[in-house]
Amino acid sequence: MLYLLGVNLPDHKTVPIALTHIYGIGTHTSQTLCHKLGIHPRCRLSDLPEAKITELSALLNTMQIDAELRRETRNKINVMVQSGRYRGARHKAGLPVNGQRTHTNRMNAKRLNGRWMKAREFSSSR
Amino acid sequence: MRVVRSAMFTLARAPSSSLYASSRIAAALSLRPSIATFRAFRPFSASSVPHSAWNKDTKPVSGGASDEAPPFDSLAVGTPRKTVVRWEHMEVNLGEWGPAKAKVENIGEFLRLPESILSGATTTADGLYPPALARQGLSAFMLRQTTLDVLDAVSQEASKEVCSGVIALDGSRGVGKSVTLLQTVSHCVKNGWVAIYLPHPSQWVNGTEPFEPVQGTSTFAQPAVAVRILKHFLQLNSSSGLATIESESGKKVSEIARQGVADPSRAQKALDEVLAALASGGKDRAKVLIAVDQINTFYCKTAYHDSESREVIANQLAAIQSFAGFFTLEKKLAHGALICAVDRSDTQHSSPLVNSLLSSLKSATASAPSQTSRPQHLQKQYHDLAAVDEFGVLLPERLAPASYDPLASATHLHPKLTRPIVVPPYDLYEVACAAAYYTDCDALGNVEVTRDYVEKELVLTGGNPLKLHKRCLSL
Repeated sequence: MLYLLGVNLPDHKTVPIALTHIYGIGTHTSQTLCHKLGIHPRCRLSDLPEAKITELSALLNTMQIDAELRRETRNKINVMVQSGRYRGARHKAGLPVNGQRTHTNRMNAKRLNGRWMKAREFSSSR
Repeated sequence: MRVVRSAMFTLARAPSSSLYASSRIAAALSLRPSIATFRAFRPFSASSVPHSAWNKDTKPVSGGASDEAPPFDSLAVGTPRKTVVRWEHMEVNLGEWGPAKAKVENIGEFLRLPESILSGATTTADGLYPPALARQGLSAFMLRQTTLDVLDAVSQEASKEVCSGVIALDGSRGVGKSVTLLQTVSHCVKNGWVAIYLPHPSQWVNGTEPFEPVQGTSTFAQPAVAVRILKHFLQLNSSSGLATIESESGKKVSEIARQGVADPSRAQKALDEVLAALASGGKDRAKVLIAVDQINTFYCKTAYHDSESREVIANQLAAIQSFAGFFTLEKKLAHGALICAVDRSDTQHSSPLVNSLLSSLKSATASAPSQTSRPQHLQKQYHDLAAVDEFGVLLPERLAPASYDPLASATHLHPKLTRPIVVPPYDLYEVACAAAYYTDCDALGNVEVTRDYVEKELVLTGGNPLKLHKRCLSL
């Protein structure tokens, strides 16, 4: 496993697929990264030379991914909640935010929407 | 000839040789009575080698001859194998494909390829063998009239001062284009020619090879590909043939190739030097053959993208550029021949341009195309791509894919396919020979090869060799 910017990436997968394991990078972004760095599409992560890994790390450092992205998302939702907006209230209630029906089919929203609102527990708090 | 035990035999029955041979001979003679040299006893051995005999770890040897024992030595006499059973009353021999065998009277005979070709045959895609044939474990093929026609065409081209056109093998999938090309290459190599054979260039464009941009150009270099081409070049050709060819700097091509293999960063330059040396030269040096399978991959979009995420076209790859110059006749090949084969099985790297050029060549030989119905200003632009209908309306991509090919407008890159040869499917005699061959290999079980059976197989398979092979082995 290649440990890159706090994420364990699987060695046996191809580079465009492996990069999608990073929060904030999807298929299109990972392919664009490979194009910029000149990595061929079927290159496995284990076959990547050190120089390319260094370039990849430098490029990923310029992007907002993983922890920074999560923090940014959480902050935006908190702003909506604290300013008393409709969307903030929906996040807080764990209900769909984008106008979906709630008479039926609201289970995904019920499961996912409140996760940014939950207080994080740290080991130092005990 | 070499005695080879086949691993494909099973003890299904012990036939009476005289009765069996005579009925088989009578059936074959009735189908083609003009072939009087069909001998009383035609020994064969199996062409199919079991997959375990293909050594995946076999590496091509740099240098002239192969020093390692090829995989077929494991089937030599004296090596006991559990699955090998000898016929009690006959020894099976398989003739080796060579210049002496390329005669009309040997048409229909299955011949084994020489060791220099087989030693490069691995199941990996970077071997010196078409991967489709390596996967099936095939090493012996039928001599057909088409092969003799191709050999004649190649000889005619090589007898000229400068090669004036490209011989293109076309045909439906599984009809034997790659096999014919392989037989041509082995024939020329055995005749002392210097050959460059590219069996699997789709490996270069499908995104499996590392690539790097060349500074200051829009070209991309693939050092690993260049190294592999040089290795195969050294493996395929004997050192005596290579010794006759020198570059402008006075170095022998074998030395240049070895330097390129040793230093991947200089491999592309070494390849260009070798090709330049092969192209030039007088009558004293050996004749040259450049044979490329899957020629459609030279004129297609690749799986690579540049730094701005634009698709890289095959012509932008340095290795392909080195060879494409010969096919556009920009680079003159002295005392040599250019031959290529189209791959119809790979749909990802098909080339509408090549398909259109081949079909226009075929239709041009049949009848002259009518230009009067097209508007004048469109005739000049689309005269060879048929992108407009009779009202001058531009056809959509589905109906005229060639006109939307990125290389359609780059006419200076179009290959000069002057001599298309369509490889036909098997006729009745060839199906009979193949059926007799599979019978000797005991692949047909208890099926009796009669005229009715042969005619039925011809109708069911359409004479397609690949379909016939799969059908016979499935019994």
